[in-house]
Amino acid sequence: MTTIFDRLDIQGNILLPYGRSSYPIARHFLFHVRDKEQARAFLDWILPQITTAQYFPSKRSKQMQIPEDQLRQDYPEVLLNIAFTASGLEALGVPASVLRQFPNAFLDGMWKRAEMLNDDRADWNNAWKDQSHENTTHILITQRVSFNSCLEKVCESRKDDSFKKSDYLCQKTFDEARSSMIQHLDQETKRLLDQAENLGLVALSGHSNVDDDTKWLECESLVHTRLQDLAIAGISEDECLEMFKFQKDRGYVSSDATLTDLRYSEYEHFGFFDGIGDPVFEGQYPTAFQAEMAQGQGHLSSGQWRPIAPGEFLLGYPNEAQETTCHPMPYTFSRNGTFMAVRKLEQNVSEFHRTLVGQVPLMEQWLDNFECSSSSGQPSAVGNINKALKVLRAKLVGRWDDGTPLVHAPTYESWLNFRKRLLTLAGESRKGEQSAKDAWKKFKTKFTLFTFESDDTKGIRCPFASHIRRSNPRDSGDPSLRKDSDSSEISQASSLLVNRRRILRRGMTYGPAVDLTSENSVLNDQNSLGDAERGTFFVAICSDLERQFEFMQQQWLNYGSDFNLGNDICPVAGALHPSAASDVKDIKVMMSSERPDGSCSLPFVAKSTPRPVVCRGGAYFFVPSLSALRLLAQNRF
Amino acid sequence: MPSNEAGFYQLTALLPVKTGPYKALSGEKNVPQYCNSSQSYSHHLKDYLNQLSDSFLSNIDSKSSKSGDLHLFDHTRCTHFARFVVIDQLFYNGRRRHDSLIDFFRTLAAGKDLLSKKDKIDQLESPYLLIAIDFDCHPSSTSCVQDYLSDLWPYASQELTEILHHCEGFYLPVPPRGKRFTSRTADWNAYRTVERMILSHEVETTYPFSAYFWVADKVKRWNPSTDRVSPSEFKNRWGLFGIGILPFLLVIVSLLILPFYLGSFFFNWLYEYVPPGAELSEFYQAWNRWGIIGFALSVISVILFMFAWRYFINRANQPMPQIKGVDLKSISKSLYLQGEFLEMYKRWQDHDGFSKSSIRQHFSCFLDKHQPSDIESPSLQPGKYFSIRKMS
Amino acid sequence: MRLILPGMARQPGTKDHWHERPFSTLGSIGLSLVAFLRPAWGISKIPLRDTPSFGMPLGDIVGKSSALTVVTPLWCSWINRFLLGLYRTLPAQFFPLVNLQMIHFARWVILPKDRWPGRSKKFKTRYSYLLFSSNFNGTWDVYLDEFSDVISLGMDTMWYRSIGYPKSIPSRPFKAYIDDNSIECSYYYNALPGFSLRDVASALKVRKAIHFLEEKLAEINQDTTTSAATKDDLFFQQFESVVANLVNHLPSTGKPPLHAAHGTRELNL
Ligand code: HEM
Repeated sequence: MTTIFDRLDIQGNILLPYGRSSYPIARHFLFHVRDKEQARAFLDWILPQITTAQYFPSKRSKQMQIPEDQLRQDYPEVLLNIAFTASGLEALGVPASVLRQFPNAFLDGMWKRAEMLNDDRADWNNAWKDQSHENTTHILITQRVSFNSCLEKVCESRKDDSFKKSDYLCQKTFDEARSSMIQHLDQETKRLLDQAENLGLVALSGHSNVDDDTKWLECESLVHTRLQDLAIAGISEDECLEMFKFQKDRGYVSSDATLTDLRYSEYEHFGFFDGIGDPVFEGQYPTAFQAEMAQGQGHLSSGQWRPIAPGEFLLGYPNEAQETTCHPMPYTFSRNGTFMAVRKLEQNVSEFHRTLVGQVPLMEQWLDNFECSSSSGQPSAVGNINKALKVLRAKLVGRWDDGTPLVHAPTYESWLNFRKRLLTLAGESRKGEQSAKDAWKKFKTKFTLFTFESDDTKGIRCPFASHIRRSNPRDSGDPSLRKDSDSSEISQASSLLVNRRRILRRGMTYGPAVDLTSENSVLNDQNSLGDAERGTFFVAICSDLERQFEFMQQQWLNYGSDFNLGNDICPVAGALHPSAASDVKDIKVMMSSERPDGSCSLPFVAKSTPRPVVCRGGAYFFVPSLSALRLLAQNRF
Repeated sequence: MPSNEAGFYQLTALLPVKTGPYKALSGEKNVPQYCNSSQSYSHHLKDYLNQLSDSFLSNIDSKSSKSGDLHLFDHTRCTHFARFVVIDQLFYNGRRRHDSLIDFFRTLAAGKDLLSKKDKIDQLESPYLLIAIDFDCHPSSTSCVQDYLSDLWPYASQELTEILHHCEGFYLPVPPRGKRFTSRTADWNAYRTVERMILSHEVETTYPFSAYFWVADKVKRWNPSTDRVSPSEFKNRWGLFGIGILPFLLVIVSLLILPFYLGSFFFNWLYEYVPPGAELSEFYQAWNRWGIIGFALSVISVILFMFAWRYFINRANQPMPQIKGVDLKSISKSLYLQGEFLEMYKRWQDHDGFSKSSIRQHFSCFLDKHQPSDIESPSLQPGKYFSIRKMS
Repeated sequence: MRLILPGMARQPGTKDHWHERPFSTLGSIGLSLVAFLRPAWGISKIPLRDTPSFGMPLGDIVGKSSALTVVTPLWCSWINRFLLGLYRTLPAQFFPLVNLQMIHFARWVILPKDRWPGRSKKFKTRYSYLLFSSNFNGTWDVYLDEFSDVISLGMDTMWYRSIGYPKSIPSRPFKAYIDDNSIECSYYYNALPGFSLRDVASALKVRKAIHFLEEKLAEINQDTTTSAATKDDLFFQQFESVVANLVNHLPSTGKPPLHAAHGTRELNL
C-alpha cells in the first residue's frame, strides 16, 4: 500500500517543516472573529495565499526525484498558514452538529485542560486565556518570508559575494539580508493586519515576548557564529583555531571564511541542537526516499523500520491502530486536516544552566571515580569543567549539544571522535565527490538511526530520564519480549508502545539568545539579555491530541512511571503539578555511565531545576485542508 | 481452587440485593440519619458505599498512622485491593447477530419476518452486590476467608453488617421475647451472619492474575551483583496443554468422520435397492470401514474427552506456589526501604562525594535505622499516600 | 460517514446508567455552573457531544490505580472455561502482560447461567456471564490501547464467546464494548495509592539488593584480621557492583497525574 496525498490540499508545514534557515522568522498572529460574514470574506481572501504541501524546488526535491509537474514553479516568497480553535470554528458558524463530532480535547481547548498538563494558569499570557469573549483566540495565522531571496538580492547588489544557501555568511551580508527580510516581512504583516481589520477581525496582542501591544509573537531561529559551532564540544579557543586552520587547509571551507561568520542555526535556547527527530509517515515522501528516511524515524518491528501510518498525523486515513482516524462529517471538511497543539514555553535558561554548573564539581568526582584509567584527552582544568558540564547536559537530553546521540557516542571522548569524523566527512562531501557525498549521507543517518532496547537496554548510555528517551522511547521497554533471561531476543524489540504516541514537531525559538559558551556570563547575570523572555514556541501536530500530545506531555514528560522513574519529571520539558511545585527545590535525574570495561557505573543523582520551562499559554487548533477552508469561507455545511 | 493462588486470595462474592424500600437494621443503636423509607435497597447501598469511600479518601493524604486516621482495611495490613460494585442489571449488547444468509433462509423457511420476534433480554430478579477483595493468605490454608473476616471484624463489624444487611438472606437471630443479647453475643451473631452470607455467596475465581507473583519471580531470579536474570521455572506446560487440547481435537476429528458413518448407513440402504451387476461393493466396503472407524472414534473420543476434561481442568487449576515476601506488609516495607535507600545514597553523594571510605558507615547507619528485616516497623502505612508507620 | 459501531448501539432504557456516569454529569453540571457564574465565558454553546468518548468515572480511581469491572454475556461458557484452563498451562503466553507492568491484580470469573448465587436452580439467564475485574495503573485509554496493541490475541481468547465482542483490534469498537459493559465501583480501596506496579517491582529489587549488601557487610565486618580501611574498600566494591544495577529502580514518589476528567472538573471551581 502506498498512500499518495493530494499535496495541493494539505497545508504546508504538516508534511514537512519549513527550513529553519530558509524561513528563519515566523510571526504568529492570533485573531478573534467578530462577525461571521466578514470573517468568511477574510477566509476567501486568504485562501489562495495559503501555502500548500507542494514540494518546493530545491536540492532536496532533486534528491527525492520529484517530477517537474509536482513541483512548485517558484520558491515561495511568503508563507502563510492558518488554523482554528474550537471556539473559532463555532464563531465562524460551523454548526454544532459538525462540531460535536470533534474530539473532546479539541473542543475543551488547552485552557480548560491546562491543569492536566501541569500548567499554572496564573502564568498564562492573557491572550491565550479562554476566558472572555473579547479576546478568545479563534484563528492562528503564521507568516514567514524567504531569507534566501533577500540574500540573493544582497549578494547580487554587492557582486563580491557569491550567493550560497545555508552556509555561513559574513556579518555584513548577513545583517543586510536580514534587515531586508524583516522589511519585507513588515510589509506583509501590514497587508495582513490591514485586511483583517477591514474585515472585522480583531488581532490580539499580549502573547508577544516583546511588549503587551505587539500583535504577533515573533520566532526567529538562533544565529550562530562559526566559532560557536566549532566550539560546541567545549574545546578551547586555541583548539578551535587549529581546527579552523585545518579545515581551511583541506579546502573544507573557503579561504576567505572567518570565525565570526554567521548563519541561522537549529539550536534552541538551552544550547542543544534541535529538530532532528521527527516521525516519518506513509505518503510523506516518494516511496524510495521514504524508506530511507524511515530508518530510525518510523515504526520498528522485527528489526525493520517502516513509515508510520498516515492516520497518525492526518484525519481520514488508516492509523497505527489499524482503523481510520476520526473524521467528522462532512468528510471534505476533516480529511487532510489535522490537529495542532501550540504552547509558548518560556525557558528558564539561566536557572537551568546555573543548577547544572553548580553540580559540575560533583560530576567531575563522579567521572573520575569510574574513569580514572581513561581520562587522557583533557588534561587542563578548564577542559575538565567543560567536560563534566557537557556530560551532564548530554545525559539530560540524550544527545550531546550538537545532536550526536548518546547511544552512538556514550563518552565525552567518543563524542570528540565522532565530531572529528563528522566534520571531516562533511568537509569532504562539500568538495563534491560522489563517494564522499555518499559516505557523508550514510554517516548522517547515525543522528536518527539508533535503538534503545537493543543498543542500550539499561539506559547506561542514554538514561531513561533523558528527554529523547522519554519523548520517543523507540523500542525501549517493549513488553512483547517474552524471555527476560535471554538477551538474543532483544534485537527483535519493536516500537509497539510508541507507534501511536508520535508527534510532528514544528516549533521555533523566540526571544534573544543567551551566550552559553562561557558559564560565567550567565552566572554573573551581567548580561543584559539575562532577563528577557525567551523560549520555544512549541508546535506539535498529530491527529489525536489526547492520545499523542497530551499523553506524551502528561505521562512521559510530567511523570515517569513508564520508565521506572516514578514521579520524576523530564529535566528539559517537564513540569510538576502547581500544587506540588511549591515545596520542591529541585528534581532528580538518575543517570549512570559506561565504565571503560563496559560495565555500569554507580548512579549519579543529578539535580535539575523543577521548572525548566514555564508554559505561558497555548491552544489546540484544527488545521484544515484547503478544501475545508473553502467550505468554511463559503459556509457549506 | 484458583481463588487462592500464590499466597493471594482473590475473593469474589455475588450477593443479591434486597428489593423493596430500605428499612434500617433493627436493633441498631443509632439509626443512620439518612434512613429514608423511600429509597430502594440498591440506591441506599450505593449511597452508603459512596460515603464509606469518602471516609477512606478524606484521610488518604494523612501523614500519620494513628489508628483514628485509619480506614477499615488499613488496620489488618493484608488487603491489597477491595471493591464493592452494585450490579443493577446485566448488560444487553444489542440484538444477537447471525449470519445474514442464515437469517435469509430461516425467514424463507418460516415464511415470516424474523425481526418481528423480539430478542430475549436477560433480566436479573434483583440487583447484585459484587464484592471483590485481594488479600494475603497462606496457600495451604483452607479457611482463608474465615480467617480474613475474623481479622477484619474488629475494625469493620459495623460497616460489614450494614452492607450485608442490604442483601437477601441477611437476618440476625432474634433474642427470645423480653430478653436482649449482650453486646458480645450480638456481635458474635452479626459476625456469624456476615461470614455465612459471604461464604455461601462466594463464586470461584476462574482465572486469577497477580502481577506481584510474576514480579517476585523475576526478582528471585535476578542476581543483584551481576544484574543477570536466570530463566524462569514457570514455563509453558505443553504436556498438560496437550492433554487439554488433544481430546478436543479428537472430538472434532471424529465429528468430521461421523458423516462417513452416516453415509455408510445411506449406502446400506442403497445396497438393498441397486440393480444386481452394478459394481458398488468395493466402494461400499471402503466407505463402510471408514464409517465404523468414525463411529468408534467418536465414541472413544467423547469418553476420553469427558475424563480428560476433568483431569485437565483440575490440573490446570492447581494453584501456583507462593513466593515469599510479596504480602502487603513486605511490599510496604520494601517501598519504604526504597525511598530511604535513595535518601542515603544522595546524602553520601552530596556530602561525601562518592568517597569510598564512608559508604560502609552510611550503610550501617541505614541498616540500624530502617531495620530491613523488620516488616512491622518502620514501614509505610497501607491506605495512605505516604505515611510512615513507626512503633515506639 | 460516522461509524456506527456494533458495540455502541444503545437501547434506550436498558443502559440508562451509562448516561449517569458521575464524571459526565459532574462535567455538565460544572459547565452550566460556569455558564451561569460567568456568562462571558464562551464555552457553553457547544452542547454535549456525540463523538464516542470513553473514560473512567472518578470513583474508580484511587491514587495510581484504577478499577475496571466488566460483565459481558457469554455463549457456551464451557469453551471459555477450557480456554482459561489452557492459558493456565501456558504462563509464558502471559509474559507480555507481565512485562507491561500495568496490572496489580486481575481476575476473570465465569458466572454460569444456571448458578446465580442466592438463586434457585430454576432461575436461568439466556447467557452465562464473564466478570472481569482489574486494578491497573495509568489511564483507561492507555490500558485498553495496550490491550489491543500488545496482547490482542490473549484478550480475544479470554473473551472468545462473549456476545457482541468486536475483537480487540481495531481498538475503537473494542473500547466501546468495554465501556458499554463496565460498571463503576461504589467503593474502591487501594492499599498503596502512591505507588504503581513498576514502583513495587523496583522496590522488590532494591530490597533484595539491600539484603544482599547486609549479608556482605556482616561477612566483611566479621573478619577480624583486616583493617577498617580494607573493610571500607571491600564493602565499597560490593556496594558499587550492586548499586550500579539499581539506577533504574529508584523512582521518586508523588501523586499520580490528573485524569482528563479531573482537569475539566477542576476548572469549574
Ligand atoms: C522548551 C522545551 C523543549 C526543549 C528545549 C526541547 C529540546 C529538545 C531537544 C534538544 C531534542 C533533541 C533533538 C531532536 O531529537 O530533535 C528534542 C527532541 C524531542 N522532543 Fe523536545 N524539547 C522541548 C519540549 C518538548 C515537548 C513539550 C515535547 C512533547 C510534548 C517534546 C517532544 C520531543 C520529541 C518527540 C523529540 C524527538 C525525539 C526523537 O524522535 O528521538 N519536546 N527536544
